[in-house]
Amino acid sequence: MAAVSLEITDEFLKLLKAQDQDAFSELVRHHHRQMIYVARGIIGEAQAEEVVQEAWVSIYRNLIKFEGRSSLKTWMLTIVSNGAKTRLRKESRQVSFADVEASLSGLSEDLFNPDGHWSKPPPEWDISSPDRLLEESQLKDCIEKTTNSLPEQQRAVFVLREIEQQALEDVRNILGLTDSNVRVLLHRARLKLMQVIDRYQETGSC
Amino acid sequence: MLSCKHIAENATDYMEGRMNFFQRLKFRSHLRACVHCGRFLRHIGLTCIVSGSCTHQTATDQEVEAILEMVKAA
Repeated sequence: MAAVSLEITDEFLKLLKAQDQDAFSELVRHHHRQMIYVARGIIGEAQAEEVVQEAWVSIYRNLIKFEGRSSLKTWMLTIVSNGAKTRLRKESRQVSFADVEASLSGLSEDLFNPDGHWSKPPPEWDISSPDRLLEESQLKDCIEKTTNSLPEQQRAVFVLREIEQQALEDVRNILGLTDSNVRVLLHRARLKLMQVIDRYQETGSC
Repeated sequence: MLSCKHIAENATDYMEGRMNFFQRLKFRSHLRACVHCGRFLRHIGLTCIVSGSCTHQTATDQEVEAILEMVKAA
């Protein structure tokens, strides 16, 4: 379900610190999915839900101590990330960066001539303003489906940067990736989603 | 002059300010001369805005309820 993001006001924070159930429910409603994506990006599908459940317990207990040195969102994402990394260390597992290493750009080679210039230049988009693109409900569904089907690390990086608006440094720290891995994953996610819009502009469907 | 392939492969580094002054200068001079790469950059920028705006997902009532119960029980 797509929705507008939750605004954390001082008043809302006070309610959270007082363990108000309705306020906490809203917090869970707006951040649970994003936290799942982050956990999956670090530890994989199988244990992500458990890690996030533990993180919510920790968040609930420790909200009273939240001092606002970072945003609440970053603080919560760091708790999930630390939980997932701890679990990973306990199991002496390494995450696979095969997806990052497989291809640097994610661009098809046949888009370019041997001299590196476009052989198939990007086509002009008929719908070319953000507000008009956002009016296309079918396109929004296509983008949501594609985002959900991105490889886990790509999706985690994309969600943190584009949806949660985290700085690249924070994305790197939260996911425990290198700066170059984050940039490659983000670039490839953007290219995949751009291809979805390209196709929609051309065919009117996903 | 940089190739179009280089521009397409490094568009995110450019957009995220991850280039030094000279890299940025060379990137911009290519963009000024190449309508296709200008369009590519514009499309990537639009993609970021649109996909970031339409994929904020909320949890279902059941998911929220399950977390609340677990938090209370812990």
